[in-house]
Amino acid sequence: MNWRHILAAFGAVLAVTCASAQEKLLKNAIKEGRKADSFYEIENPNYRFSLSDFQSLASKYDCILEYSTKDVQRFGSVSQVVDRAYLLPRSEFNDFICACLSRPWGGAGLSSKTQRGSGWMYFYPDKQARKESYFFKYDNVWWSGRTADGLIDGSGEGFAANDTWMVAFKGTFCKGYPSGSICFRWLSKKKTGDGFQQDKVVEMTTACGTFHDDIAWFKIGDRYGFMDAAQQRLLEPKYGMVLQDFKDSFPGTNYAVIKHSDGLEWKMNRNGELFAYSDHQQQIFADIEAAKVEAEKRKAEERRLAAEKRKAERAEQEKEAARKRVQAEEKRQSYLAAIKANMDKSRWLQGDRLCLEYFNPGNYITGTLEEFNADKSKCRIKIVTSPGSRMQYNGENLEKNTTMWIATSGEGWHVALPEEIEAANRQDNSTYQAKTQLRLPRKCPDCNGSGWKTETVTHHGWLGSYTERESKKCYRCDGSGWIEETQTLTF
Amino acid sequence: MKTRLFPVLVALFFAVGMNAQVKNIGAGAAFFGDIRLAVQGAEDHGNLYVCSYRPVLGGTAYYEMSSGSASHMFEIDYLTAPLAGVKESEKYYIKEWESVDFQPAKVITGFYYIGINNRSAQRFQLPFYFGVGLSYNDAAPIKFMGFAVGAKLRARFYITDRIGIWGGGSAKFGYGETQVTADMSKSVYQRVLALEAGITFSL
Repeated sequence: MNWRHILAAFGAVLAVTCASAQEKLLKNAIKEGRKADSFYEIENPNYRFSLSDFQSLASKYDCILEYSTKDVQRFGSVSQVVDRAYLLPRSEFNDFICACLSRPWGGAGLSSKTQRGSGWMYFYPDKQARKESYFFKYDNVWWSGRTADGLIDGSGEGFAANDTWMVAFKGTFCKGYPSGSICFRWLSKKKTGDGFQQDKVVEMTTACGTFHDDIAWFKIGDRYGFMDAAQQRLLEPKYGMVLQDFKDSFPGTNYAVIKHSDGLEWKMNRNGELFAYSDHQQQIFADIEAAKVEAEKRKAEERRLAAEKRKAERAEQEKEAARKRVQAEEKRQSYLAAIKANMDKSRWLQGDRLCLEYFNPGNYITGTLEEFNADKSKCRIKIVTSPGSRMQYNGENLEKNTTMWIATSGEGWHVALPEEIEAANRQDNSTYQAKTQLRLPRKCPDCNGSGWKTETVTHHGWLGSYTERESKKCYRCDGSGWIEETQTLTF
Repeated sequence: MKTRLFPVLVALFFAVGMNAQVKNIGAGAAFFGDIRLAVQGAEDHGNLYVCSYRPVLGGTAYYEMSSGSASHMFEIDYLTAPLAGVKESEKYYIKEWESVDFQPAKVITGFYYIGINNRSAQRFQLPFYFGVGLSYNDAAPIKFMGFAVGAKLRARFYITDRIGIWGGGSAKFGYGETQVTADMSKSVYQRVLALEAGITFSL
């Protein structure tokens, strides 16, 4: 005996001790019992046993193993250990299924006393099976109803299960196929990627039509598909509605009418090819087309009426504009005639207000007639209004109250009309206004007379940034505290 | 910009440390080993003095932050060793050291290690560390502070989930300049080999 033999013997003793400890835990758990819908629960003392230990224990006693893990700090790092193990002997598996799924619809038809039938059935179990067939044959079904030709038949309740899933169902079957609406209650035991959430019971409803010409529709969720009896060929359940089954087809045509996911109704042959729109759909299209044409006609008529209305409005506007132009021309002519009449010096009297349009239209010089000369070729006026006191007429300033002699004819002076007097008064600028600019000192508003300003400065260093307040000379007053401001005085 | 990068690097390092899953402390004793100091002459003069000190005795303490199979470790060593022998150059010597008696060595090192542990979360582990640090040597007349690189291999066995014992060997190689007179210094190459053992705790 050398050291290798001693080591092997020690290992064997250790393994036996470890295995017996696990078995003791399992026996204790079985002794304590379990709830009807749960496994035997084993706590892992001090995380002593690894997952492989529990797997070997499950294998030895033909149990289904589930476990929960936990992150614990051990051996200088954080590791995942088995916190609790859940074991269920396969001999108790059917009882467990009954407890989990026995009352999905409130009835008592399914129980642990239900006998295993010899029949088999079709249903859609998982994604793997769906690749080939939506309804797959399973021959280990517990069924409360009768069987026909080895297939479950008639009304009843049933369940089936394997290590991955369990399913309970209720409804009417016809030679293994769901006939009408069947409710499936499904529990996925593992993450199989079939879209079912693990350990969560989900209910699904399916239906299957009658076989005609060896083909029948079936419904999964809210989508319809087609299959044949031999499961050799099927069309994916992607259609919204089956409007006309194959049985309704005329001899020789052999098609069904379905409502596609795009909302249109199509004729479909047995290969799933959508070869034409249905008659109803074509009628719908025709109605839509007719409605479009009618709408186009209505729009064209509306456009024509609108154009005529716009044309009439434009004519009315042009007529109104012409009438206004004539009125304005008549007014202008009467105005010119009045001015021409007022230019007659024989009608002028002392004290009349004379007026002259000075260069630009609207610029008037007005003055009061004071006296005539001997031959009435000139007269003296006193300026009342003018466009500017420093503007000149015949070399004289047009300042208010200035008197000047003017020619009574040939220069356009005339007795002022009331509207001319009003306009002249409005633009009068005949009073002279002297202006001067003063530079007055005042306190600088920026520094309030101090000559210094306080500013916040931010410094950036490698440890970060900090701010401090700094006094700086005022730029506006250059440190004097006073600024000069220009003011314009008018007097 | 370079000066601004420094606090960022420091912050990044501590952020990594904060993410560490487990923090361990440990202490141990160095019970066997060898310290070798080689004083270099000018240019091609070779080694003027090669001093050997053994056996090594001392202590070590460390703080380790581990995350999975990687870890950071800060370690401080204090080692002493009596003089075992001095090999002098046949051609050259330092005049000031002509009548000097060489004294036992005291070495204090502070290191930062990066650890790799392929057997993390197992009872028996074999972590490997490599790192850089500072080394202070006092072995009169040789006395210097220098930079050093080092590596160590440890065998660690956890008695419980949080308490373990460890043993292993480490090697450190340093370089520094020892002051002979006020205006003359000599390069010194240092080699420290040590066997250590101790205990570790997970916090």
